[in-house]
Amino acid sequence: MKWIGGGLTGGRVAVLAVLLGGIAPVGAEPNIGIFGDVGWADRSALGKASQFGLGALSVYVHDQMDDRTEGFFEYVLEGDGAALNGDLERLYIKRSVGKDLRFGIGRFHSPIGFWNNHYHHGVLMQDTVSRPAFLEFEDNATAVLPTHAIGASLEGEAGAVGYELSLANTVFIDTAAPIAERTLGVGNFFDMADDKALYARVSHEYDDSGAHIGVSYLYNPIVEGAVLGGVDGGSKGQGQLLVEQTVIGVDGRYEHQGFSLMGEYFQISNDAEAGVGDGGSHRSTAYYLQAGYRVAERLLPTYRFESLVFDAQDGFYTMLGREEYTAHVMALRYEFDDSNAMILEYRASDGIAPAANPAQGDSIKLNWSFLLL
Amino acid sequence: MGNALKHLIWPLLALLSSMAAASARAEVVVVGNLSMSADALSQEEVKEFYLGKLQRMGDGVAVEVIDLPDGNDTRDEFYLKAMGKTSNQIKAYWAKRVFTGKGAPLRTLPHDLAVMKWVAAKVGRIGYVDANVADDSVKVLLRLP
Repeated sequence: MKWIGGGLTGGRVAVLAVLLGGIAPVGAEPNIGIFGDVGWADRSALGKASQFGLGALSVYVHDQMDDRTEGFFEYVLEGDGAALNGDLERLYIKRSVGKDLRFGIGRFHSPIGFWNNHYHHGVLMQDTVSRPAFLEFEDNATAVLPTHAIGASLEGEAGAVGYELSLANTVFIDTAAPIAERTLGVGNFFDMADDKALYARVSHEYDDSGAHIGVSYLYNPIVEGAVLGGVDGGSKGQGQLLVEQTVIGVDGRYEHQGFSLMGEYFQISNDAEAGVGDGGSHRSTAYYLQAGYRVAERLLPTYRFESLVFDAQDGFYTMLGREEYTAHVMALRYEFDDSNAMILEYRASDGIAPAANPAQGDSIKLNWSFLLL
Repeated sequence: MGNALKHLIWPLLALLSSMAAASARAEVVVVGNLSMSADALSQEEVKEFYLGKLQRMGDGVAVEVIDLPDGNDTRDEFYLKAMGKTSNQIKAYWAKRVFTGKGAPLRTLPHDLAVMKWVAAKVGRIGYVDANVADDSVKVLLRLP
Protein backbone atom coordinates (compact mmCIF):
# COMPACT_ATOMS: atom_id res chain seq x y z
CA MET A 1 0.00 0.00 0.00
CA LYS A 2 3.03 2.26 -0.30
CA TRP A 3 1.61 3.69 -3.54
CA ILE A 4 -1.08 5.45 -1.55
CA GLY A 5 1.47 7.63 0.19
CA GLY A 6 1.19 9.46 3.48
CA GLY A 7 -0.72 12.41 2.09
CA LEU A 8 -3.95 10.62 1.55
CA THR A 9 -6.70 12.71 3.13
CA GLY A 10 -10.07 11.69 4.43
CA GLY A 11 -11.67 13.31 1.39
CA ARG A 12 -9.58 11.28 -1.00
CA VAL A 13 -10.39 8.15 0.94
CA ALA A 14 -14.06 9.01 0.62
CA VAL A 15 -13.73 9.40 -3.17
CA LEU A 16 -11.87 6.14 -3.42
CA ALA A 17 -14.41 4.52 -1.16
CA VAL A 18 -17.18 5.56 -3.54
CA LEU A 19 -15.19 4.13 -6.43
CA LEU A 20 -14.74 0.97 -4.43
CA GLY A 21 -18.40 0.90 -3.42
CA GLY A 22 -20.06 -2.48 -3.33
CA ILE A 23 -17.10 -4.30 -1.77
CA ALA A 24 -18.61 -6.35 1.00
CA PRO A 25 -16.78 -8.51 3.54
CA VAL A 26 -16.57 -12.09 2.48
CA GLY A 27 -16.14 -15.19 4.53
CA ALA A 28 -12.97 -17.03 3.83
CA GLU A 29 -13.12 -19.59 1.05
CA PRO A 30 -14.54 -22.92 2.19
CA ASN A 31 -12.09 -24.23 4.77
CA ILE A 32 -10.55 -27.50 3.67
CA GLY A 33 -7.98 -29.38 5.71
CA ILE A 34 -6.55 -32.78 6.38
CA PHE A 35 -5.54 -34.14 9.76
CA GLY A 36 -3.36 -37.22 9.52
CA ASP A 37 -0.98 -39.33 11.51
CA VAL A 38 1.57 -42.06 10.91
CA GLY A 39 3.67 -44.01 13.33
CA TRP A 40 5.35 -47.05 14.74
CA ALA A 41 4.19 -49.49 17.40
CA ASP A 42 6.10 -51.99 19.53
CA ARG A 43 3.70 -54.86 20.19
CA SER A 44 6.25 -57.33 21.56
CA ALA A 45 4.26 -57.53 24.81
CA LEU A 46 1.49 -59.08 22.74
CA GLY A 47 3.90 -61.49 21.08
CA LYS A 48 3.53 -59.67 17.79
CA ALA A 49 5.94 -57.97 15.42
CA SER A 50 6.69 -54.30 15.81
CA GLN A 51 5.42 -52.32 12.89
CA PHE A 52 5.13 -49.04 11.07
CA GLY A 53 1.61 -48.07 10.24
CA LEU A 54 -0.69 -45.40 8.90
CA GLY A 55 -3.12 -43.82 11.34
CA ALA A 56 -6.28 -42.02 10.37
CA LEU A 57 -6.59 -39.47 7.59
CA SER A 58 -9.39 -37.04 8.33
CA VAL A 59 -10.50 -34.77 5.48
CA TYR A 60 -12.86 -31.96 6.38
CA VAL A 61 -14.66 -29.13 4.63
CA HIS A 62 -16.37 -26.27 6.44
CA ASP A 63 -18.26 -23.47 4.77
CA GLN A 64 -19.82 -20.43 6.34
CA MET A 65 -22.54 -20.23 3.73
CA ASP A 66 -23.97 -16.97 4.99
CA ASP A 67 -23.97 -14.92 8.19
CA ARG A 68 -26.18 -17.47 9.91
CA THR A 69 -25.62 -20.80 8.20
CA GLU A 70 -22.65 -23.16 8.22
CA GLY A 71 -22.05 -26.64 6.85
CA PHE A 72 -19.45 -29.19 7.86
CA PHE A 73 -18.28 -32.48 6.34
CA GLU A 74 -15.63 -34.89 7.61
CA TYR A 75 -14.56 -38.17 6.04
CA VAL A 76 -11.99 -40.43 7.69
CA LEU A 77 -9.83 -43.03 5.97
CA GLU A 78 -8.21 -45.56 8.28
CA GLY A 79 -6.94 -49.10 8.20
CA ASP A 80 -8.64 -51.99 9.96
CA GLY A 81 -5.44 -54.04 10.09
CA ALA A 82 -5.64 -55.18 6.49
CA ALA A 83 -7.49 -52.75 4.25
CA LEU A 84 -8.20 -49.04 4.10
CA ASN A 85 -11.76 -48.17 5.05
CA GLY A 86 -13.62 -44.92 4.71
CA ASP A 87 -16.18 -43.59 7.17
CA LEU A 88 -18.40 -40.56 7.05
CA GLU A 89 -17.72 -39.13 10.49
CA ARG A 90 -19.53 -35.81 10.54
CA LEU A 91 -22.00 -34.16 8.19
CA TYR A 92 -24.23 -31.37 9.39
CA ILE A 93 -25.74 -28.03 8.69
CA LYS A 94 -26.36 -25.46 11.44
CA ARG A 95 -28.18 -22.19 11.46
CA SER A 96 -28.33 -19.40 14.02
CA VAL A 97 -31.89 -19.07 15.23
CA GLY A 98 -31.29 -16.32 17.72
CA LYS A 99 -28.56 -14.57 19.58
CA ASP A 100 -26.00 -17.22 20.57
CA LEU A 101 -28.40 -20.06 19.70
CA ARG A 102 -27.98 -22.54 16.83
CA PHE A 103 -30.07 -25.34 15.42
CA GLY A 104 -28.61 -28.13 13.35
CA ILE A 105 -29.36 -31.48 11.79
CA GLY A 106 -26.94 -34.17 10.70
CA ARG A 107 -24.26 -36.46 12.09
CA PHE A 108 -22.35 -34.93 15.00
CA HIS A 109 -19.97 -36.05 17.67
CA SER A 110 -22.30 -36.79 20.55
CA PRO A 111 -22.24 -34.05 23.20
CA ILE A 112 -21.14 -36.30 26.02
CA GLY A 113 -18.09 -35.26 28.00
CA PHE A 114 -15.10 -33.24 26.91
CA TRP A 115 -12.78 -35.50 24.92
CA ASN A 116 -15.28 -36.51 22.29
CA ASN A 117 -16.13 -32.93 21.37
CA HIS A 118 -12.71 -31.38 21.77
CA TYR A 119 -10.27 -33.67 20.00
CA HIS A 120 -12.57 -35.41 17.49
CA HIS A 121 -10.44 -37.41 15.01
CA GLY A 122 -7.36 -35.20 15.22
CA VAL A 123 -4.48 -36.84 17.10
CA LEU A 124 -2.58 -33.58 16.54
CA MET A 125 -4.75 -31.92 19.16
CA GLN A 126 -4.37 -34.69 21.76
CA ASP A 127 -1.61 -34.82 24.35
CA THR A 128 -1.50 -38.63 24.04
CA VAL A 129 -1.64 -40.92 21.01
CA SER A 130 -4.57 -42.96 22.29
CA ARG A 131 -8.01 -41.95 23.45
CA PRO A 132 -9.29 -43.40 26.72
CA ALA A 133 -10.30 -46.91 25.62
CA PHE A 134 -13.89 -46.60 26.85
CA LEU A 135 -14.24 -43.41 24.79
CA GLU A 136 -13.04 -45.03 21.57
CA PHE A 137 -15.25 -44.65 18.49
CA GLU A 138 -18.16 -47.07 18.21
CA ASP A 139 -16.50 -49.41 15.70
CA ASN A 140 -13.67 -50.09 18.15
CA ALA A 141 -13.86 -53.20 20.36
CA THR A 142 -13.38 -51.21 23.58
CA ALA A 143 -16.06 -48.54 23.05
CA VAL A 144 -18.90 -48.37 25.54
CA LEU A 145 -20.48 -45.00 24.74
CA PRO A 146 -21.97 -43.73 21.47
CA THR A 147 -19.50 -41.14 20.18
CA HIS A 148 -21.59 -40.11 17.17
CA ALA A 149 -25.20 -39.00 17.06
CA ILE A 150 -27.41 -38.71 14.01
CA GLY A 151 -30.19 -36.31 14.76
CA ALA A 152 -31.10 -32.72 15.58
CA SER A 153 -29.20 -30.43 17.90
CA LEU A 154 -29.90 -27.14 19.65
CA GLU A 155 -26.83 -25.47 21.11
CA GLY A 156 -25.91 -22.09 22.44
CA GLU A 157 -24.17 -19.96 24.99
CA ALA A 158 -25.34 -17.66 27.76
CA GLY A 159 -22.22 -15.81 28.79
CA ALA A 160 -19.66 -18.38 29.87
CA VAL A 161 -22.27 -21.14 30.08
CA GLY A 162 -22.67 -23.38 27.05
CA TYR A 163 -25.55 -25.80 26.56
CA GLU A 164 -26.59 -28.43 24.05
CA LEU A 165 -29.67 -30.57 23.63
CA SER A 166 -29.82 -33.30 20.98
CA LEU A 167 -32.32 -35.88 19.85
CA ALA A 168 -30.75 -38.77 17.93
CA ASN A 169 -31.33 -42.15 16.35
CA THR A 170 -31.22 -45.09 18.72
CA VAL A 171 -28.08 -47.18 19.17
CA PHE A 172 -28.32 -50.81 18.09
CA ILE A 173 -26.28 -53.97 18.63
CA ASP A 174 -26.36 -56.87 16.20
CA THR A 175 -26.42 -59.68 18.75
CA ALA A 176 -26.38 -62.32 16.02
CA ALA A 177 -22.81 -61.32 15.16
CA PRO A 178 -19.87 -63.16 16.78
CA ILE A 179 -19.29 -61.55 20.16
CA ALA A 180 -15.79 -60.30 19.22
CA GLU A 181 -17.33 -58.38 16.30
CA ARG A 182 -20.18 -56.69 18.13
CA THR A 183 -20.12 -52.91 18.15
CA LEU A 184 -22.42 -50.03 18.97
CA GLY A 185 -24.29 -49.20 15.78
CA VAL A 186 -25.70 -45.81 14.86
CA GLY A 187 -27.87 -45.58 11.77
CA ASN A 188 -26.93 -42.85 9.32
CA PHE A 189 -29.92 -43.43 7.06
CA PHE A 190 -32.40 -45.22 9.29
CA ASP A 191 -33.52 -45.83 12.84
CA MET A 192 -34.63 -49.26 13.97
CA ALA A 193 -37.01 -47.91 16.61
CA ASP A 194 -39.39 -45.02 17.15
CA ASP A 195 -37.75 -44.23 20.46
CA LYS A 196 -34.87 -41.75 20.32
CA ALA A 197 -31.71 -41.05 22.30
CA LEU A 198 -31.63 -37.79 24.23
CA TYR A 199 -28.40 -35.93 24.95
CA ALA A 200 -28.07 -32.87 27.19
CA ARG A 201 -24.95 -31.02 28.21
CA VAL A 202 -24.21 -27.87 30.19
CA SER A 203 -20.69 -26.53 30.64
CA HIS A 204 -19.07 -23.48 32.15
CA GLU A 205 -15.84 -22.04 30.75
CA TYR A 206 -13.66 -20.05 33.11
CA ASP A 207 -11.31 -18.52 30.59
CA ASP A 208 -10.04 -19.07 27.07
CA SER A 209 -7.40 -21.59 28.20
CA GLY A 210 -10.00 -24.35 28.07
CA ALA A 211 -10.58 -24.43 31.85
CA HIS A 212 -14.15 -25.60 32.37
CA ILE A 213 -16.52 -27.92 34.13
CA GLY A 214 -19.31 -29.77 32.37
CA VAL A 215 -22.22 -32.07 33.11
CA SER A 216 -23.68 -34.44 30.51
CA TYR A 217 -26.80 -36.60 30.44
CA LEU A 218 -27.74 -39.33 28.00
CA TYR A 219 -30.93 -41.36 27.76
CA ASN A 220 -29.96 -44.19 25.44
CA PRO A 221 -32.44 -46.94 24.46
CA ILE A 222 -30.31 -49.69 22.92
CA VAL A 223 -32.18 -51.93 20.51
CA GLU A 224 -31.65 -55.20 18.69
CA GLY A 225 -29.92 -54.83 15.33
CA ALA A 226 -30.17 -58.43 14.20
CA VAL A 227 -32.99 -59.52 11.93
CA LEU A 228 -32.81 -63.11 13.16
CA GLY A 229 -30.97 -65.19 15.71
CA GLY A 230 -30.12 -62.51 18.25
CA VAL A 231 -30.02 -62.81 22.05
CA ASP A 232 -32.05 -65.42 23.80
CA GLY A 233 -32.45 -67.45 20.63
CA GLY A 234 -33.81 -64.51 18.73
CA SER A 235 -36.62 -63.60 21.10
CA LYS A 236 -36.00 -59.92 20.43
CA GLY A 237 -36.98 -58.76 16.99
CA GLN A 238 -35.05 -56.07 15.15
CA GLY A 239 -35.67 -52.71 16.76
CA GLN A 240 -36.89 -54.14 20.06
CA LEU A 241 -35.43 -52.76 23.26
CA LEU A 242 -32.47 -54.65 24.75
CA VAL A 243 -31.18 -52.22 27.37
CA GLU A 244 -32.48 -48.91 28.62
CA GLN A 245 -29.32 -46.98 29.41
CA THR A 246 -28.85 -43.68 31.21
CA VAL A 247 -25.49 -41.99 31.52
CA ILE A 248 -24.57 -39.10 33.76
CA GLY A 249 -21.15 -37.59 33.18
CA VAL A 250 -19.02 -34.92 34.83
CA ASP A 251 -15.92 -33.50 33.19
CA GLY A 252 -13.44 -30.77 33.94
CA ARG A 253 -10.22 -29.22 32.78
CA TYR A 254 -7.84 -26.79 34.44
CA GLU A 255 -4.71 -25.12 33.09
CA HIS A 256 -2.28 -22.90 34.89
CA GLN A 257 1.30 -21.91 34.07
CA GLY A 258 2.02 -24.97 31.95
CA PHE A 259 0.20 -27.39 34.23
CA SER A 260 -2.97 -29.07 32.94
CA LEU A 261 -5.38 -31.38 34.68
CA MET A 262 -8.42 -32.93 33.06
CA GLY A 263 -10.79 -35.76 33.75
CA GLU A 264 -14.15 -37.29 32.96
CA TYR A 265 -16.36 -39.50 35.10
CA PHE A 266 -19.39 -41.39 33.81
CA GLN A 267 -21.96 -43.32 35.77
CA ILE A 268 -23.66 -45.72 33.38
CA SER A 269 -26.95 -47.32 34.46
CA ASN A 270 -28.14 -50.29 32.40
CA ASP A 271 -31.64 -51.66 32.80
CA ALA A 272 -31.67 -54.86 30.73
CA GLU A 273 -34.74 -56.51 29.31
CA ALA A 274 -35.51 -60.13 30.18
CA GLY A 275 -33.15 -62.45 28.33
CA VAL A 276 -30.34 -59.88 28.18
CA GLY A 277 -27.64 -60.81 30.73
CA ASP A 278 -29.44 -61.42 34.00
CA GLY A 279 -32.25 -59.13 32.89
CA GLY A 280 -31.55 -56.83 35.83
CA SER A 281 -30.42 -53.30 36.54
CA HIS A 282 -26.76 -52.49 37.11
CA ARG A 283 -24.59 -49.45 37.57
CA SER A 284 -21.07 -49.13 36.19
CA THR A 285 -18.42 -46.43 36.17
CA ALA A 286 -15.92 -45.27 33.59
CA TYR A 287 -13.43 -42.49 34.19
CA TYR A 288 -10.02 -41.10 33.38
CA LEU A 289 -7.79 -38.52 35.01
CA GLN A 290 -5.01 -36.92 32.98
CA ALA A 291 -2.26 -34.52 34.06
CA GLY A 292 0.46 -32.80 32.09
CA TYR A 293 3.17 -30.26 32.70
CA ARG A 294 4.82 -28.27 29.91
CA VAL A 295 8.52 -28.52 30.83
CA ALA A 296 9.57 -26.48 27.80
CA GLU A 297 7.69 -24.42 25.23
CA ARG A 298 7.29 -27.40 22.89
CA LEU A 299 7.69 -30.36 25.23
CA LEU A 300 4.77 -31.82 27.19
CA PRO A 301 4.91 -35.00 29.30
CA THR A 302 1.49 -36.39 30.25
CA TYR A 303 0.16 -39.16 32.47
CA ARG A 304 -3.35 -40.63 32.34
CA PHE A 305 -5.17 -43.22 34.41
CA GLU A 306 -8.26 -44.93 32.98
CA SER A 307 -10.76 -47.29 34.54
CA LEU A 308 -13.93 -49.14 33.54
CA VAL A 309 -15.70 -51.11 36.29
CA PHE A 310 -18.98 -53.03 35.97
CA ASP A 311 -20.90 -56.01 37.37
CA ALA A 312 -20.07 -59.26 35.61
CA GLN A 313 -23.83 -59.90 35.18
CA ASP A 314 -24.50 -56.54 33.49
CA GLY A 315 -26.29 -57.50 30.27
CA PHE A 316 -25.01 -54.50 28.31
CA TYR A 317 -21.36 -55.45 28.76
CA THR A 318 -21.82 -59.22 28.41
CA MET A 319 -23.79 -58.67 25.21
CA LEU A 320 -21.03 -56.43 23.83
CA GLY A 321 -18.23 -58.66 25.08
CA ARG A 322 -16.51 -55.88 26.97
CA GLU A 323 -14.08 -56.38 29.87
CA GLU A 324 -13.30 -54.33 32.94
CA TYR A 325 -9.90 -52.68 32.76
CA THR A 326 -7.52 -50.13 34.15
CA ALA A 327 -4.75 -48.47 32.15
CA HIS A 328 -1.75 -46.26 32.79
CA VAL A 329 -0.71 -44.06 29.88
CA MET A 330 2.51 -42.06 29.78
CA ALA A 331 3.20 -39.79 26.84
CA LEU A 332 5.83 -37.31 25.75
CA ARG A 333 4.69 -34.83 23.12
CA TYR A 334 7.06 -32.61 21.12
CA GLU A 335 5.55 -29.89 18.94
CA PHE A 336 7.66 -29.11 15.89
CA ASP A 337 5.16 -26.46 14.86
CA ASP A 338 1.45 -25.67 15.16
CA SER A 339 0.93 -28.02 12.24
CA ASN A 340 2.81 -31.14 13.35
CA ALA A 341 3.81 -32.91 16.54
CA MET A 342 5.38 -36.19 17.60
CA ILE A 343 4.18 -38.23 20.59
CA LEU A 344 5.91 -41.17 22.23
CA GLU A 345 3.43 -43.15 24.33
CA TYR A 346 3.70 -46.11 26.67
CA ARG A 347 0.42 -47.71 27.59
CA ALA A 348 0.07 -50.46 30.19
CA SER A 349 -3.42 -51.84 30.52
CA ASP A 350 -4.83 -54.62 32.60
CA GLY A 351 -8.02 -56.38 31.75
CA ILE A 352 -8.68 -55.78 28.09
CA ALA A 353 -8.23 -58.96 26.06
CA PRO A 354 -5.56 -58.20 23.47
CA ALA A 355 -7.17 -60.69 21.13
CA ALA A 356 -10.32 -58.59 21.10
CA ASN A 357 -8.45 -55.45 20.23
CA PRO A 358 -4.79 -55.56 19.20
CA ALA A 359 -4.65 -51.80 19.61
CA GLN A 360 -4.92 -52.26 23.37
CA GLY A 361 -2.82 -54.17 25.87
CA ASP A 362 0.72 -53.05 26.77
CA SER A 363 2.28 -51.14 23.93
CA ILE A 364 4.74 -48.46 22.95
CA LYS A 365 3.79 -46.12 20.14
CA LEU A 366 5.54 -43.35 18.31
CA ASN A 367 3.12 -41.15 16.42
CA TRP A 368 3.69 -38.19 14.12
CA SER A 369 0.52 -36.21 13.53
CA PHE A 370 0.05 -33.33 11.14
CA LEU A 371 -2.31 -30.87 9.58
CA LEU A 372 -2.29 -30.18 5.84
CA LEU A 373 -3.91 -26.96 4.63
CA MET B 1 37.74 -10.90 -13.77
CA GLY B 2 37.65 -7.10 -13.25
CA ASN B 3 34.96 -6.63 -15.89
CA ALA B 4 32.96 -9.45 -14.41
CA LEU B 5 33.05 -7.72 -11.00
CA LYS B 6 31.88 -4.46 -12.55
CA HIS B 7 28.92 -6.27 -14.09
CA LEU B 8 28.05 -7.89 -10.79
CA ILE B 9 28.41 -4.90 -8.49
CA TRP B 10 25.36 -2.89 -9.61
CA PRO B 11 22.89 -5.78 -9.49
CA LEU B 12 24.33 -6.68 -6.09
CA LEU B 13 23.89 -3.13 -4.79
CA ALA B 14 20.34 -3.06 -6.14
CA LEU B 15 19.58 -6.32 -4.40
CA LEU B 16 21.02 -5.09 -1.10
CA SER B 17 19.08 -1.85 -1.27
CA SER B 18 15.81 -3.67 -1.98
CA MET B 19 16.50 -5.98 0.96
CA ALA B 20 17.10 -2.95 3.18
CA ALA B 21 13.83 -1.40 2.01
CA ALA B 22 11.96 -4.61 2.71
CA SER B 23 13.42 -4.80 6.18
CA ALA B 24 12.11 -1.29 6.97
CA ARG B 25 8.68 -2.75 7.71
CA ALA B 26 5.61 -0.57 7.54
CA GLU B 27 3.79 0.43 10.70
CA VAL B 28 0.40 -1.22 11.12
CA VAL B 29 -2.40 0.44 13.07
CA VAL B 30 -5.52 -1.08 14.55
CA VAL B 31 -8.45 1.19 13.80
CA GLY B 32 -11.96 1.40 15.20
CA ASN B 33 -15.20 3.16 14.46
CA LEU B 34 -15.24 6.79 15.66
CA SER B 35 -18.19 6.25 17.97
CA MET B 36 -16.41 3.64 20.08
CA SER B 37 -16.06 4.72 23.69
CA ALA B 38 -12.55 3.29 24.04
CA ASP B 39 -9.67 5.43 22.82
CA ALA B 40 -7.13 2.62 22.88
CA LEU B 41 -6.85 -1.15 22.96
CA SER B 42 -4.08 -3.18 24.53
CA GLN B 43 -2.13 -5.61 22.36
CA GLU B 44 -3.66 -8.46 24.40
CA GLU B 45 -7.19 -7.23 23.67
CA VAL B 46 -6.45 -6.98 19.96
CA LYS B 47 -5.02 -10.51 20.04
CA GLU B 48 -8.16 -11.86 21.73
CA PHE B 49 -10.48 -10.10 19.27
CA TYR B 50 -8.55 -11.49 16.31
CA LEU B 51 -8.38 -15.01 17.70
CA GLY B 52 -12.14 -15.05 18.23
CA LYS B 53 -11.83 -15.26 22.02
CA LEU B 54 -13.34 -11.86 22.80
CA GLN B 55 -16.47 -10.49 21.15
CA ARG B 56 -17.37 -7.43 23.22
CA MET B 57 -15.77 -4.21 24.41
CA GLY B 58 -15.58 -3.44 28.11
CA ASP B 59 -18.76 -1.34 27.82
CA GLY B 60 -20.68 -4.29 26.35
CA VAL B 61 -20.69 -3.11 22.73
CA ALA B 62 -20.51 -6.07 20.33
CA VAL B 63 -17.31 -6.02 18.27
CA GLU B 64 -16.95 -7.05 14.64
CA VAL B 65 -13.43 -7.50 13.36
CA ILE B 66 -12.30 -7.74 9.77
CA ASP B 67 -9.25 -9.39 8.27
CA LEU B 68 -7.18 -8.95 5.12
CA PRO B 69 -6.72 -11.92 2.80
CA ASP B 70 -3.97 -14.49 3.08
CA GLY B 71 -0.84 -13.29 1.27
CA ASN B 72 -1.46 -9.60 1.99
CA ASP B 73 1.71 -7.86 3.32
CA THR B 74 -0.18 -5.79 5.92
CA ARG B 75 -1.83 -8.96 7.20
CA ASP B 76 1.54 -10.72 7.60
CA GLU B 77 2.92 -7.67 9.46
CA PHE B 78 -0.13 -7.42 11.70
CA TYR B 79 -0.08 -11.03 12.91
CA LEU B 80 3.67 -11.02 13.41
CA LYS B 81 3.62 -7.78 15.41
CA ALA B 82 0.35 -8.25 17.32
CA MET B 83 0.81 -11.87 18.35
CA GLY B 84 4.14 -13.15 17.07
CA LYS B 85 2.44 -15.56 14.66
CA THR B 86 3.18 -16.29 11.03
CA SER B 87 0.44 -16.54 8.44
CA ASN B 88 0.76 -20.35 8.42
CA GLN B 89 0.41 -20.49 12.20
CA ILE B 90 -2.77 -18.42 12.00
CA LYS B 91 -4.11 -20.73 9.31
CA ALA B 92 -3.36 -23.75 11.53
CA TYR B 93 -5.03 -22.03 14.49
CA TRP B 94 -8.27 -21.44 12.56
CA ALA B 95 -8.17 -24.93 11.07
CA LYS B 96 -8.22 -26.38 14.59
CA ARG B 97 -11.02 -24.02 15.67
CA VAL B 98 -13.09 -24.97 12.62
CA PHE B 99 -12.41 -28.69 13.08
CA THR B 100 -13.53 -28.58 16.69
CA GLY B 101 -16.59 -26.47 15.92
CA LYS B 102 -15.37 -23.51 17.93
CA GLY B 103 -15.53 -20.87 15.24
CA ALA B 104 -14.94 -19.87 11.66
CA PRO B 105 -12.10 -17.74 10.26
CA LEU B 106 -12.69 -14.01 10.16
CA ARG B 107 -14.32 -12.41 7.17
CA THR B 108 -11.97 -10.55 4.87
CA LEU B 109 -11.86 -7.47 2.69
CA PRO B 110 -9.48 -7.27 -0.26
CA HIS B 111 -7.37 -4.26 0.82
CA ASP B 112 -6.74 -1.53 3.40
CA LEU B 113 -9.03 1.05 1.80
CA ALA B 114 -11.97 -1.31 1.90
CA VAL B 115 -11.20 -1.96 5.58
CA MET B 116 -11.21 1.81 6.27
CA LYS B 117 -14.59 2.22 4.63
CA TRP B 118 -16.06 -0.80 6.43
CA VAL B 119 -14.80 0.27 9.87
CA ALA B 120 -16.02 3.84 9.44
CA ALA B 121 -19.53 2.70 8.54
CA LYS B 122 -20.73 1.13 11.80
CA VAL B 123 -20.17 1.24 15.55
CA GLY B 124 -18.25 -1.68 17.06
CA ARG B 125 -16.16 -2.37 13.98
CA ILE B 126 -12.41 -2.92 14.21
CA GLY B 127 -9.80 -3.48 11.51
CA TYR B 128 -6.12 -3.01 10.86
CA VAL B 129 -4.42 -1.12 8.04
CA ASP B 130 -1.06 0.21 6.97
CA ALA B 131 -0.45 3.35 9.08
CA ASN B 132 -0.12 5.43 5.90
CA VAL B 133 -3.72 4.66 5.00
CA ALA B 134 -5.34 5.60 8.33
CA ASP B 135 -7.08 8.96 8.45
CA ASP B 136 -9.56 10.83 10.64
CA SER B 137 -12.56 8.81 9.44
CA VAL B 138 -11.57 6.18 12.02
CA LYS B 139 -9.97 6.06 15.45
CA VAL B 140 -6.47 4.63 15.86
CA LEU B 141 -6.71 2.21 18.80
CA LEU B 142 -3.25 0.65 18.73
CA ARG B 143 -0.02 1.26 16.86
CA LEU B 144 2.19 -1.68 15.94
CA PRO B 145 5.48 -0.10 14.81
